[in-house]
Amino acid sequence: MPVTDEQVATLHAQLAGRREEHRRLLGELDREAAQTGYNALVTAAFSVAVVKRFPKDTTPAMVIEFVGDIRSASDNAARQDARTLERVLLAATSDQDISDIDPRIRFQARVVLLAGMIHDLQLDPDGLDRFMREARTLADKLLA
Amino acid sequence: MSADLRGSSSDASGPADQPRPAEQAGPADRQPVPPVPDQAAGAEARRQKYAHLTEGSGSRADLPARRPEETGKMPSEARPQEAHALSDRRYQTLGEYQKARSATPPAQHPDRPHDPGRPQVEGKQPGVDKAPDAGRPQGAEHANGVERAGAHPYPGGPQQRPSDPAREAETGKHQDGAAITHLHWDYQGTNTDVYTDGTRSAHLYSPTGKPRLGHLVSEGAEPAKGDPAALPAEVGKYLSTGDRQVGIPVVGEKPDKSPGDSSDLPPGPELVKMEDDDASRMEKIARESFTEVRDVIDLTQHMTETVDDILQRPTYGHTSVPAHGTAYEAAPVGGMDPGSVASTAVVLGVLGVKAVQAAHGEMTKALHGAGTLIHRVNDTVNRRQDDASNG
Repeated sequence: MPVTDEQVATLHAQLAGRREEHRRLLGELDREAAQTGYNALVTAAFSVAVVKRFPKDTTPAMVIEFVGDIRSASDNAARQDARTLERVLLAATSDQDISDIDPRIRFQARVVLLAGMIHDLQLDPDGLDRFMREARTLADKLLA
Repeated sequence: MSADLRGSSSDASGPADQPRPAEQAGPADRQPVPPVPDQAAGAEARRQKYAHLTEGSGSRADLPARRPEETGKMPSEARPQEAHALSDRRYQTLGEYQKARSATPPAQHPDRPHDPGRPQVEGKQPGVDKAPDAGRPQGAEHANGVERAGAHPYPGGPQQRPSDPAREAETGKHQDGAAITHLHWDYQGTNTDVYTDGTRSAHLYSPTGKPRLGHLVSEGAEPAKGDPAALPAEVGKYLSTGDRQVGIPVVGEKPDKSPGDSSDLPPGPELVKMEDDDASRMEKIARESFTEVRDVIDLTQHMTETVDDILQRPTYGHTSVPAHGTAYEAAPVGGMDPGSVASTAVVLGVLGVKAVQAAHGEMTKALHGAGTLIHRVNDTVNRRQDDASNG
């Protein structure tokens, strides 16, 4: 099942900072379809953002600094486990094994890290549209 | 030039009015000289001899000046033959002089091609300065001449040459062996003398006769833009001044790289390869990270507030600290301005005076009224006392 327009619109609304729209669209999503489609879309968007934000030779220090910056955003962000966030990100940049981390925690960590990378990329509306198209294409590849 | 002049003018001790044989002129590039007229004979005899040239006017000064376009030559080269004719007693008329000149090819510098339009160079004896006005008709508008030899530009000889330590070592002839060339012309009463050693002269009098601009460009090479050799031939000849290279001023410097130069960028295939690398990297990360997760919507809703906080945080690298409490207010600066104190004192003084004056007026009125009342009361009392005593 490919990624739907509703799933793309939901993630797009969240990354664009449209909080109420995101909550409304999220509540309207099919829960069964979201387990694969929306999950694949978030994972694909996370992968695209990692490639755009971090080069191949990213050092652990850069990852630690990035996570620290995210956790300094608010009290809610500071409650996120720093080590989990760092490992999830290092797994994407340096093939670190994170199979010991709960998939639910990994998903939540990717959502948090995705928000931090989108913030750093400073995408304009057109750039965010291109980013979402790229993520959708990749997600469709994952689900194919 | 000055050093050469000084060296070549060492012969200046010789008599200025004695003609010398041509072989005594020294260097080989000096010209065979026709007999120099006895300049001491002066202008009077010459003026009488050539009186027919100024017939009807009495003096050439009365003739209207010929413009260059009438003669087809510039003033500096338009009249040399005429001037020589006037200064040479062998020829009765200008026509005879020109005929003799055309029949006898003039000796010229071996390196310099003959230019018929150029004033002929005469081999003036070393040390024999021109004394130009002595051998020419007085008041001549044009009396051009070119002399080559050790004529010194300073009337007093080398002793009066300004001291130049850098040139003290240069003595004698110029290193190129070129002789001194002296150009003299009178134009509308203005005498002009130009001395040159031949190597730093203009192209027209250069010993080689070649413009030096050609040295800048190798044979067969296309001159670059801004290169003097890229100039038209006539302009280049004009700008050529012997040893000195005169270039075309170019505004600014050439940039190191053209704005469209993409030499430092990766070539197209490499860019495509980079794109492919990114795509494969994305796909690799996505495939390794993707696992099915239940309750995706609930997990997302749980993280919504945190995501919003992260998206709305200040830009990375520009941390700001929110201010708490009351806003800062600048405290007033203590002390008073002396000017303000003075003006305040003046105002208060004026107001005080006015107040005193007003109070005094009111007091006066009040006292006057009280006095009047007392006076009336007294009158009344006195009148009643009088009535009582009378009654």
